[in-house]
Amino acid sequence: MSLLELDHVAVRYGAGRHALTAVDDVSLAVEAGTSIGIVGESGSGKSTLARAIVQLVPTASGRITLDGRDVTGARGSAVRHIRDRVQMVFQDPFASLNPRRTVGATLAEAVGLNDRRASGGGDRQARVTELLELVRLDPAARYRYPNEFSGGQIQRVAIARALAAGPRLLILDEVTSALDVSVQAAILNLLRDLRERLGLTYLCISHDLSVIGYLCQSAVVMYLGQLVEAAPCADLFSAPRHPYSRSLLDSVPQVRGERIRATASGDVPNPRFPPPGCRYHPRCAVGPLAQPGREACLQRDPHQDDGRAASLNGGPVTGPGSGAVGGRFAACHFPLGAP
Amino acid sequence: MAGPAAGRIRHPVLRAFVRAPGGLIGAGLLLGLLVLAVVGPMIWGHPATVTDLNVPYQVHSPEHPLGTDSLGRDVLARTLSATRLTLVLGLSAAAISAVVGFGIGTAVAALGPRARGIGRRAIESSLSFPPILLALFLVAIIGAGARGAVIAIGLGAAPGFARLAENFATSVGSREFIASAKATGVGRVRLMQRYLLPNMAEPLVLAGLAYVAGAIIDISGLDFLGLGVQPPAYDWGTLLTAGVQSIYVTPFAGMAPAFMIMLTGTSLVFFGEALSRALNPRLWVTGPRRDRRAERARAGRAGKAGLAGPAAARPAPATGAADPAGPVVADAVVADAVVVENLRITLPSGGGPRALVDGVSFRLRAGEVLGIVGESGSGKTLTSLAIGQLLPHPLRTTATRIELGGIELTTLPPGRLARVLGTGLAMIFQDPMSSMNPASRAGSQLTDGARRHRGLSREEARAEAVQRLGEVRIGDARRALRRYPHQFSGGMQQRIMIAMGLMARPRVLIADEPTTALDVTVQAQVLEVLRDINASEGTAIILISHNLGVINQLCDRVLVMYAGRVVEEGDRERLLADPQHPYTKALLASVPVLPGTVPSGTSPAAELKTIPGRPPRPDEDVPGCSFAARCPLAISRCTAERPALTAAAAGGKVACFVVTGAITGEAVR
Repeated sequence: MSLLELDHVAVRYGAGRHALTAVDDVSLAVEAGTSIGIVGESGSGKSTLARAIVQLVPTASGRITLDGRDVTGARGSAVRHIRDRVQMVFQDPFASLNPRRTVGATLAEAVGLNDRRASGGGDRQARVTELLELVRLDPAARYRYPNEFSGGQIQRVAIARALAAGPRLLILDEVTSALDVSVQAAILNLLRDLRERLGLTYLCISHDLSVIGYLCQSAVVMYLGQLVEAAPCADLFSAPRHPYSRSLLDSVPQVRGERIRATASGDVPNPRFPPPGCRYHPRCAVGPLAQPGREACLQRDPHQDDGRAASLNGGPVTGPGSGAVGGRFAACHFPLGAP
Repeated sequence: MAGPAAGRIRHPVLRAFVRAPGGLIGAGLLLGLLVLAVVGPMIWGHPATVTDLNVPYQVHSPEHPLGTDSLGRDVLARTLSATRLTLVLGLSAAAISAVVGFGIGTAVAALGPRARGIGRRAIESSLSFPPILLALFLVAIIGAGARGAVIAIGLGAAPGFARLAENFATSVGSREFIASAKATGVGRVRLMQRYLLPNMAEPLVLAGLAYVAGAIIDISGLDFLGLGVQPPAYDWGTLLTAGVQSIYVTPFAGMAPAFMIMLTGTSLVFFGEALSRALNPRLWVTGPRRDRRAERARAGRAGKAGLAGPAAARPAPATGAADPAGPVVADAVVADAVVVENLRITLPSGGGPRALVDGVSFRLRAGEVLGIVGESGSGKTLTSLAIGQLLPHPLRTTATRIELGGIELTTLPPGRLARVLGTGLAMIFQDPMSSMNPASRAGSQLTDGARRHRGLSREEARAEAVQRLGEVRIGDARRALRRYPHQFSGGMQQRIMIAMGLMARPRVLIADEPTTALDVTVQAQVLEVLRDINASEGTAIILISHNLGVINQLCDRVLVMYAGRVVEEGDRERLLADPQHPYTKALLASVPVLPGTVPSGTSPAAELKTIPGRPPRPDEDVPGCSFAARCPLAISRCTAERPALTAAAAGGKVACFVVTGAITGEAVR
């Protein structure tokens, strides 16, 4: 059984003419002990999906199962069920920590919220020390305020706070985007190390494909709220099947090697008014605007093709760590590399 | 509320007004009051003055629905016919305080830093007098009566408005689009007219209109003291004063004018709120249907023309375009585009000035793309701001030379400096939205500089803007000119910023993290645009980025900065393939690579290299190499003496004793 299962999950903002489907019919399974990356540009719905998992935004339809329990629209004890198992780390740690409290007080509070039995101050302080050491900070850091830390250090504090609840799944939402590269490297190494030591499962959201490649075994690519490709990272990066994945990969400016060329034309369309048919067709390099005879892309959403949808949703992505190497899928009428 | 009606209205200002909550109510009430002000005295002016001593202090009767006053005059007639005088007095007083206050406030905000401090204190100390006291003082000078009361109340409330305006002007003034307007050479008056005032208009309009009701109350106060409107004239204030004295006998005599004052205040606030929303182009709703149709039409056109688009329609670029790295400018002798020598930027502080940038020297050759790479705090952005003479107030610059196209900038008088910078240099920043003036259309922002600096006519400037927009691959440029910044996506905004920079045909473009806020696919497009203009126009570019991948895409030569100094300089290819300075090496090793995309070498499973410790803070006095404390190769000399940038055996220049010393390349790992 998967630690986390998403079954046809959709998230909508607003209603009527102003409705925006931020996440559209996403199915996904995350096995315990693996790491899955969610890749996509702004407006792809990747952060909304993460927020839906921890019930920060309500789902419009579909089911979310966490550790065997349906937590869709969770209330009461189900909220605690989520909080005990899933924690989130955000991009801007300064914004997510109270500037008027010492780091020690913030962590002790998180520890106390999680474990009411550890009511003794001594227990809590011991646990705070443990947490700070876990993220490789000096235990004396507890007496300092957030503004006394650098960006990398404060992100460590945010990670420590997330770990206070003893979660099994950590959702990392662009955790290194605001950091300098040398600091980013240290945080990425720390996260890999913590995963091994604590047996954690990661759901990493990033616009930076190399970060996903470094942290995750498999990845899903999102475009305008839909899943367009899912595959183990090695396959995805070496031979993507969806033209959008190809274009994302080609756009990453590499430090070494060839200079890139812009392959996707135009900008991401307004998610309020997604293009008809395949949502990627106006920008697709091998789509109907580039190659004649591909009118299918204009007319049919590849997600609604019966056969493929069944195989797609029936066989959700599974991480290679679980032993069952999951099938790959690409929501494309003319996938790359297909015979 | 006004949904269906709003759908039919074409003009965006009107539509936004109608859609604002209370807009129609406010406008309706206000219109009613204005009509009353015009016709009131004509209809009720005579009945209001008829005295009937037989019926003083009547509460209510068929002839006098709201009763009578001490002389038996009809309260209703008096209240209605007083509308004109009251509104005239209230509006004039509010107008006086708004004009005087906003004028003083904006003028103070536009002053230099020291004069602004003095102005601000003056405004604040005048605020410490309650407006009514100030007004009493002024009435004593001007003399009692309606005219005196209006002027006194108007001037008495002016300091409040001055402070409000000054606050807004300062906060708007600190935004990036003001800096980029200054960089294009927009003058002070125009800056105030076109950039500051429109962006302050919203809260100021609301404050001004809301004060009309306040002014009416304040004038009533003076009426109560007998210093305001003098009998036989009467406004709501005098009626209120009289009514309050007999409130237990004839309650309506006081309530009627009070109700009218309240009604005026409410309608003005509703109206002002809707008006300020209507003036804000960001709240204009453009119909989604129209947008979709245009999108489909564009898609259709793109389909017919293949994917070629504007790129193919452009004339063939000049020679050298095929090889962007090669020599682009054919002229035999061209001055260096930028020369910086011994640049030092300091921040004054209690313990003496702290150097944020120290001893930076470099040249940007004509047509070259120079990358400046470094992490936060390395001083790369400050260096670029110093070239544009855009450093914020407390920072001080000293330099032996800062030249732009052979002209020394540090000794230039301000007037000429603005012209040299306006025509020779363009700057684009990370966040395009905050670099544009949100209150004016793309067209006028694009053409402002060209019309000012090159004296082009409106049509010439627009034609050129259309051409420039084509060069940065904005389709349907004529339509784009009519739109506001927020109507473009981030990538388009950044390309428009580039087009704006190119309007003056500058020799040098400084791009500070131009793609950091953009998605990767859009980043690739913007980088291609920059590469194109470098190849076809020979524009020299300084590209500042923390991202070594981005640097690799565009640059001919790279400077690596660390803690305010240049630590390595060299050709891009060599520097990225064979870095010399230990910091450059560590930086390159800390970048995660895409698995499967690099043919050989690094495996993604390997741990990323990290750099222990942190860079020194500007207030820490490091006598030697600032990287020594974190450097795996540091020798004792490194902490005692500062290495200078010297030629390295592998090419380029390095500031490191170990690399440039006797130790061989093999030993340096």
